Amino acid sequence: MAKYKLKFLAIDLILLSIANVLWGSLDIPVKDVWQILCGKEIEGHPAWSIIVLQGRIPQMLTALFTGTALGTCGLLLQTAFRNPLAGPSILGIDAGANLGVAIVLLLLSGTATIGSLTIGGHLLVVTAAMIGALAIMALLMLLSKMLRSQVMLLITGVIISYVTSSIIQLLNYSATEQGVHSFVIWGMGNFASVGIERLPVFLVLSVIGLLLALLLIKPLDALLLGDKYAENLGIRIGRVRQMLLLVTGLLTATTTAFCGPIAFIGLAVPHLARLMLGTSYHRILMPATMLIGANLALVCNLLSTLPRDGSIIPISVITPLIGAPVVLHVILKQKNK
Amino acid sequence: MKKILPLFLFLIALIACNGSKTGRSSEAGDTLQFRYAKNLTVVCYEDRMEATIRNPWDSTAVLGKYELKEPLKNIAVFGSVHCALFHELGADDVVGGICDLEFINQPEVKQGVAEGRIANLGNSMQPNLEQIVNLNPDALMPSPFENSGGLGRIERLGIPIIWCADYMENTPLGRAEWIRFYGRLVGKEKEADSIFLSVEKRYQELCAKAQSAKTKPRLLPEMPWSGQWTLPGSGSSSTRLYEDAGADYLFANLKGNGGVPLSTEKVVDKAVEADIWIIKHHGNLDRKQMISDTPLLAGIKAPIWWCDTSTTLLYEETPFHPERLLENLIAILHPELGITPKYEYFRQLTTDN
Repeated sequence: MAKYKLKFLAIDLILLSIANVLWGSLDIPVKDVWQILCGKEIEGHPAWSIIVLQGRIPQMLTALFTGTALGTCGLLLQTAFRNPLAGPSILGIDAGANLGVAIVLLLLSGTATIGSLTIGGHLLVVTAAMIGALAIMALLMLLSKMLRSQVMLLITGVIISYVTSSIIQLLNYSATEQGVHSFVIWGMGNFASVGIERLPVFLVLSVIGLLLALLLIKPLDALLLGDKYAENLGIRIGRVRQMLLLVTGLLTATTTAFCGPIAFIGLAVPHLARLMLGTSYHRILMPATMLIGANLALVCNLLSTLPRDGSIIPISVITPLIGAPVVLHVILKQKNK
Repeated sequence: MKKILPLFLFLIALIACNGSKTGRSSEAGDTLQFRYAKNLTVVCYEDRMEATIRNPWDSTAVLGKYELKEPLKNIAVFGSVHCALFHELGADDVVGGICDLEFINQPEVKQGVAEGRIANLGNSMQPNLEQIVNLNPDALMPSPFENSGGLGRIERLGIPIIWCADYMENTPLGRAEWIRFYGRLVGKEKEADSIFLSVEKRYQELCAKAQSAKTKPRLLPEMPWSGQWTLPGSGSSSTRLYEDAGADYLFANLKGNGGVPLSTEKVVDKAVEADIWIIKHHGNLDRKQMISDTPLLAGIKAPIWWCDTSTTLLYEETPFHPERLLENLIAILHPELGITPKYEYFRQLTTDN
């Protein structure tokens, strides 16, 4: 049964990927999209081939891998911390990315000069977000060696989030109107910022993170039975924890740096997978989570282009609308236990 | 703003209204004729001036109603634009306190704050209450925002609040005309009228020249950020400025009075037709990097003219001097007219940038 469901999700993913290429905020006839994919130019519409090839396709791939990565992060963290409400934001890694971007946009007004090199624009934002996220990840890895309890690590992550958000508020308070506007727009998340040029970097980092996550399936299944039982099975808990931090850190840092903070997907997708498949075993749950995460992100990307007046709905507006009912369901389920 | 805002009636002292008293009589007073500003009404009497600022977001409400008997001598100014305006009017001494000091470029003001003559009132969105009480200004001059909830406790201090709704005017000259109102607040009506007259004259001259041009280049403004491209709507002052500069603004029919966010995809489809692309940007600009950030921009071949807002005084100078901006735009759009801007804000982006 699980196999059929996974197959269904995979077919769904293919259909949604095609829909993401065919559908955008601009109405391009399907036959013209097909012509463009066949390498032909559309007469009278010179921008269409750029829109499809350099806009929609990278955007579809970005959404697909972001959804996969965030869903996977959520699953790893929920299992590791035995906390159904754990998600990629819980450890403060995305808060580190936020802080990096806030420094660049609010304090440095979007440009930074190092020696004779001046960088700005999205490249600087991605670099700053990556540095911020990796710095927090390094700090957590260091602390995880010192802290024995998972709960303490979780609390540390929450504290880091509070500290970074208070620094961001301070930066916001004294920033220019333009800087605040840029930061707010970035904070709404989007899948359109990864162009064809940066797509390989994004994909390589995401694939490395996802492959490492697949290596964790066996230890995660053992962890479900408790730390001591897992140790009896030969699982080195400390090493698994470090690996887990590395994987979730890498995936969260990559997605937040390239797409901005995307809420709720990481939190909700593992629950959707559990609800759909009725299992806790990661051998099935992880691929299902990956597929559902990708599907959900592609749906969100489609929904963001729904207004036909040319405007777009920010991704961070859509994801909570889908994620919030799932979280409520989990909370109510916990309460009734 | 709230639908019904409190009316501020303040007796401050005498101000003579010598300006363009060409308006009709309203009881014993003369209504000052504003040819472009839509949100202001000023009536001058023998012994006082009465001003009403309409609520730009609700035509049935007013933001403030004022009665002024003598020029203000101690004002808490909330923004760099109005601070620069008082400097131009020769009324530096009326600035008793200032918000957002970090964005003020006037050395006199910075020196005043350093010497303690001018109070630093902190952030304009949340000014320092104690500093304001200590300064005890004749009036506060903040900018209103729609549904912002006002200034909170500061509104209860009893200090007159003059809402600077000039930025909500939908024509460049409409905003500039507010200079006549601000001038009268500080007893500089002659100077203010004279400045505005020269602004208006130059603007109309330039506008007429631009309209006489044989071509109407297709204009694309601004650039996208994080997947969104915010463009001026048809009712905005920028759209009017582009028209006056003799441009064929590609999105002139976009509904809205302010900035309208569109998807990059939607804009690029039309933007490929642009002849000129103008961008206001904080810091350096690089076309290669722009395309690397947003690959869809590769399809736009129009030459880019950009203004580095971190090194020019575009935001401080042009709100009350739209003729300077118009001059720049005409020079870019119609080089054949041979206009050389006195104040240069834009320059062409070359591969060296």
